[in-house]
Amino acid sequence: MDQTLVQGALASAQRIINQALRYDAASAQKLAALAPKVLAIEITQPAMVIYVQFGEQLRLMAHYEDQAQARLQGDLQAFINLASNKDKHAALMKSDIQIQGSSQLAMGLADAMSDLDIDFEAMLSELTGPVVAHVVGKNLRRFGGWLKGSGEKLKQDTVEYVRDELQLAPHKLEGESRFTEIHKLKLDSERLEARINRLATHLNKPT
Amino acid sequence: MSEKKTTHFGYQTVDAEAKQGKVAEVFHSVAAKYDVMNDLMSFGIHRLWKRFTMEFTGVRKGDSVLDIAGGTGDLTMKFSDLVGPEGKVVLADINDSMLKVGRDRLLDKGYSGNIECVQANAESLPFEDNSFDVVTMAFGLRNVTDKDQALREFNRVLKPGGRLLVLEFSKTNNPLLKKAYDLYSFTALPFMGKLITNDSESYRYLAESIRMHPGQDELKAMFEDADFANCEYHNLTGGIVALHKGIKP
Repeated sequence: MDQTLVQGALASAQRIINQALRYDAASAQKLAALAPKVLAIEITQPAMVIYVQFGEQLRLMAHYEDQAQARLQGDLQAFINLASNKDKHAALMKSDIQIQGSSQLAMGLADAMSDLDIDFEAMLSELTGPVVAHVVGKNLRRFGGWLKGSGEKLKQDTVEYVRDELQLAPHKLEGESRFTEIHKLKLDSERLEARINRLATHLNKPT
Repeated sequence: MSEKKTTHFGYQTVDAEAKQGKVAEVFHSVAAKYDVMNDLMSFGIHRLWKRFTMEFTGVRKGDSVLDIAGGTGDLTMKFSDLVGPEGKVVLADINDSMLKVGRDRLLDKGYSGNIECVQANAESLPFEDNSFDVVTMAFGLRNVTDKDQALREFNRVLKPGGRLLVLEFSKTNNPLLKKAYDLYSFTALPFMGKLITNDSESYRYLAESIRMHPGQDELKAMFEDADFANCEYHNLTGGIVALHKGIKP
């Protein structure tokens, strides 16, 4: 891809992120504390590397002349999953994303992103004034709450329908118990394989 | 009697000594509207080319940087942020009109303290040997009369391990893009110049000087001749612009 397009995309993303961080002082402060370290985000599918330099303003780069202090490597789906997860710290640990270098830096970013709480009302009030922003913000929060509640209810109902009515999936506890058994069986078979190997070595040994 | 040395000024052949004055006239004429014209002519893309250049500078806090032909100080501002109060940025330009516009713009934007403005000719820089970590020249080299001499000067003032970055218009290999680019630069550019700065000639010179500037490989060879190591270039926007990099061994 032509670097002009890449630079255009990075410049736009950088502007949006830094603009948003102005309305979340706590997260901005956490990210500034990581300055001047650089984190490389390496997406394997499609191949792409983005460097993030921490500071009072985040700097996004397509190229970095030095070695980044930390590198996150994984496919695009893994990064999308990470971004959509609320607890990014835990999600990063569980994900298929590999961390190289300073894991502290990667975790610092994950922590700051998990606690991200952008004050959209303040952002809006710069354009419309505080009264309109408050009214719009209040209604949006109410709508957001309803949307979240409805989403959770829908998820819960769907799970119950698939599990109890259709009987297509086991209960969570049932599943976990089965996974424990499978894991135990895997360990037993590995132990047995090791014993057989040892026995074979023993039998083949010249007397 | 010895023959007078000549060089090109756009498509014209002029005395080497006269080129500097003619280029100075062009930039005196366009200085006040330089930024507006840059944004208009490149549709703002020159900012992305400069952004790309910044990524290759590897500038750190405390570094000293020379932004030669720095004009209105686009790169200088970025360097000033990166080197911090313990670093130093020299904004140098041969043209005092451009330098005044640059200095005023820097002050208006609150940049001072780690920036010096110096009127300097790239062919004979008023700096000691081994004094800069990075030297950059964005859209200036094609206006220099003796480019080889300028490159040698950049090498002299760089510290060992220091890097030179030259961002300049170059040659595109894409025939379609070349056609569109030619049409744009020889018709739209002078027209815009006439409309905004009431000076179409300066912008005709701009288009012609771009065509006369060495191509990617030729400039890379000039870097090597000037004793730069690890020379490389990166094409931007299909080769309309190229960033050349060299390291002083």
